[in-house]
Amino acid sequence: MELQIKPFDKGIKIAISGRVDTMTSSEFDKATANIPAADAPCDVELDCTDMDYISSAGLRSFITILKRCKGMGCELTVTNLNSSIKSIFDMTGFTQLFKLS
Amino acid sequence: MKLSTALSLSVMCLCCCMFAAITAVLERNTSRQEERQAHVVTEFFQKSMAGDVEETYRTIEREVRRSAMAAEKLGGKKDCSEVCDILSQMTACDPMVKGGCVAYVPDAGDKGWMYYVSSLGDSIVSKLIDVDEYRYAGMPWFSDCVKSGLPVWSAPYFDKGAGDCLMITYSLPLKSDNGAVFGVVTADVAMTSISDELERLRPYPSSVSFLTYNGKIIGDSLPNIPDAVDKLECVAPINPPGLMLHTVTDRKDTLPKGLQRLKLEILAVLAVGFLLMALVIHLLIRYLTKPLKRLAVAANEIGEGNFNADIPVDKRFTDLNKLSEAMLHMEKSIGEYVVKIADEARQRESIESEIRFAAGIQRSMLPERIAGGKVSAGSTAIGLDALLEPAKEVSGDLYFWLPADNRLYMCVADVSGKGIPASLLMVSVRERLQNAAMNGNTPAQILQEINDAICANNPKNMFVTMQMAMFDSETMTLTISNAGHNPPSWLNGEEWSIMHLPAGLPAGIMAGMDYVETVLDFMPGNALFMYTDGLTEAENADGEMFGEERVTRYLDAMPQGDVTDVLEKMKQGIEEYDGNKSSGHGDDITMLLCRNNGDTRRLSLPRDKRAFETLGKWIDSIRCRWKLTEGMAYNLNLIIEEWAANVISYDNSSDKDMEIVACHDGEGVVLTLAYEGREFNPMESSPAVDIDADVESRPVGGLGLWLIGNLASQMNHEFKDSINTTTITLKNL
Repeated sequence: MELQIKPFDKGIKIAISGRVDTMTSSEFDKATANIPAADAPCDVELDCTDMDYISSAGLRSFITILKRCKGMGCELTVTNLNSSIKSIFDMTGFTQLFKLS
Repeated sequence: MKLSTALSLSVMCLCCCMFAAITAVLERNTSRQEERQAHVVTEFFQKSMAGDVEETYRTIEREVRRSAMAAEKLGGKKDCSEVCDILSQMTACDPMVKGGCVAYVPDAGDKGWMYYVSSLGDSIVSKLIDVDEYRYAGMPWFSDCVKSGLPVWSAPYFDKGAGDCLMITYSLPLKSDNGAVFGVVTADVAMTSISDELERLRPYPSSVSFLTYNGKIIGDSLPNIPDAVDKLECVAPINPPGLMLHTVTDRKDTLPKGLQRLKLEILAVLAVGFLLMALVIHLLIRYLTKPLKRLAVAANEIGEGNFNADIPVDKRFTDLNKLSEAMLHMEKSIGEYVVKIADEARQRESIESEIRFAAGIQRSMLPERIAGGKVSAGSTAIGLDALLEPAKEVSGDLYFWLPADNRLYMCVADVSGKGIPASLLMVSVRERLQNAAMNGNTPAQILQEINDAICANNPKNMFVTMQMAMFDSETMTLTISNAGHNPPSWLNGEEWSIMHLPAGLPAGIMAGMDYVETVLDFMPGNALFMYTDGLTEAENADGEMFGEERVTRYLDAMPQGDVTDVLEKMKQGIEEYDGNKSSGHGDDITMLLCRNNGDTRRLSLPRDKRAFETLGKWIDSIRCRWKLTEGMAYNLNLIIEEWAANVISYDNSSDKDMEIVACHDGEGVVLTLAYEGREFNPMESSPAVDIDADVESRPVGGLGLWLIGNLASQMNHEFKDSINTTTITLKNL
């Protein structure tokens, strides 16, 4: 997995590429621990264009980051999920939880 | 009834009839002769008597005529002694004349008289009688004569006065010159001579004669007519006129004694002769028909199977001889024929046993049908079976298969022609197939080899159509090549279709041919159906051929699970289609069905983080191998990862590898996940997840096992011998 964290107009964009699974989720968690920063709340976009795979570990990471954003009043957007991952989101109800585009 | 008996009886009946006829004719003839003889004799006697009598009466008539003439001269004088003289003379001339009279016709005053004379012993008495005294004018002897003017003999009468004897009166008319009748002269004649003569008239001892006048018997008493059954009666006229002489004789008397005896003697001779003849004929016929008995005996012997039986020949009789010759000829012919048939039967038997032997060898060349129709090629389970229905005992069709490591070679072939020549070529093809397959060649190469080999030595210009297929379980592909053979049928997904392959010439036509092979994916659920043209060319009652199209339709209509079942159903279908023709099918029918029943891959994962990398690589290879969709591969990956993560996180009681078996059967993937450890059933242990809860209520984790349960279409768990085995079915997306 590789993460590219960049600011974009409203906030921060995290472009995920690769797999967010049991192996890589802790890496994801570490890298996104302070996004958004407690002192600089902003919207977050998780760009999943190149995200190939997510498992329950990854979903956990996503929930974590969502809770943080919600706690800070920021908006979290998840974009460009591929069809398989979208199915998973549908199945787990994440489609309702997250803002997707 | 025997022939001899019938012949004897016929001959004897015939003779009997003949003898009877002779006897009858003889009898009738002699009877007639006798009768005629008797008549002749009797009539002779009668005529002679009549003749005598005749003479007597003629004399009397002459006398009376003389007297008449004399009386006419005298006229009608009353007192006329001359008249009496005349009468007396007349009376005296013959002792038979007993008297007479001259009676004159009464004149107008009714006055008349007659002169009457009668002899009494020696004296003659005369009288003159007046008409008043004796009314003679009305009496027949007077009136008949007067009226007719002709002499008249009266009817016989009995004269009591003259001694009660039979009398007859002769009346002659007296005519005057002018021809008028003035009187009658009569003579009373006693018929004594006649009576005497009657007595003496006995031609035969028992003869009795009597007289009749106008049909009435005259005489003193009824004559003693013999009371016999068979009478001979002769009648002859006798004078005086009106009288008939009858002689009645008993027939018995008339038979000449000599003749009687002769007849009896003849009959006796005939009878004896007949009996003798009967005996002789019977014996003779029996003797002559003996040859027939002997021929019958000979015929029986032939019937028993002895074609060398002795047939008796009878040179005496040409028709029997002909029969003997015919039987001899027949015996020889039958004997030869029987030998010929026995020979032919032996020959046929030997040919048939050769054929059976060849058929036996041929059958042994076919690969043994696999039990359950299941074979493995590498990690792939293959359902494989074939049926061969030969048209004759020995067939020109062939099916072949050979599993070789990760490969499975299959072939269906059809040799041109039928019977032993075809099967010999087929045997050699089979050998080459075996060798080529073991060498690991591909289908096109194999066809090429076989083609070149046949062309090198093909004096009879036979050829073989072939379909060669090879399944490689490493690539999950089927390589197929065609040499002039029917296109196979192919199951991909739900429907069967005709697989059109590049054409190739049948093997044996031209050397150096390049054959083209086609490679396609042979995934679980795919099936290949190869056959020979005996199947597609089977004809129904309307002459319509089964055809390639119908093959796919029939296959579509069947459940595909068991290859043996499918082949059996196909066979039944064809039998129903062509009415199971009694001579079998026109051509050999061969069918081979190969189905990919599933591919199984394994994976061992270490009980630590290294597992996930290994898993990732494995999923990639699986996805490639099974041509899985992205979604399928994803879900597979997810399920295994979640499961493995769970095991790694929570159970370190053992460090034995986790074992994963994935089996793709065409409908989906069945995962068998096993590890050694504490009992843990993922199905019971996954927490409830409320997917509609909002973010605050959603827990951070706990989705792993839940995901497994949701993605699987079926799930099973078993804990045995410290091994947790979870079976998960993932249906095709």
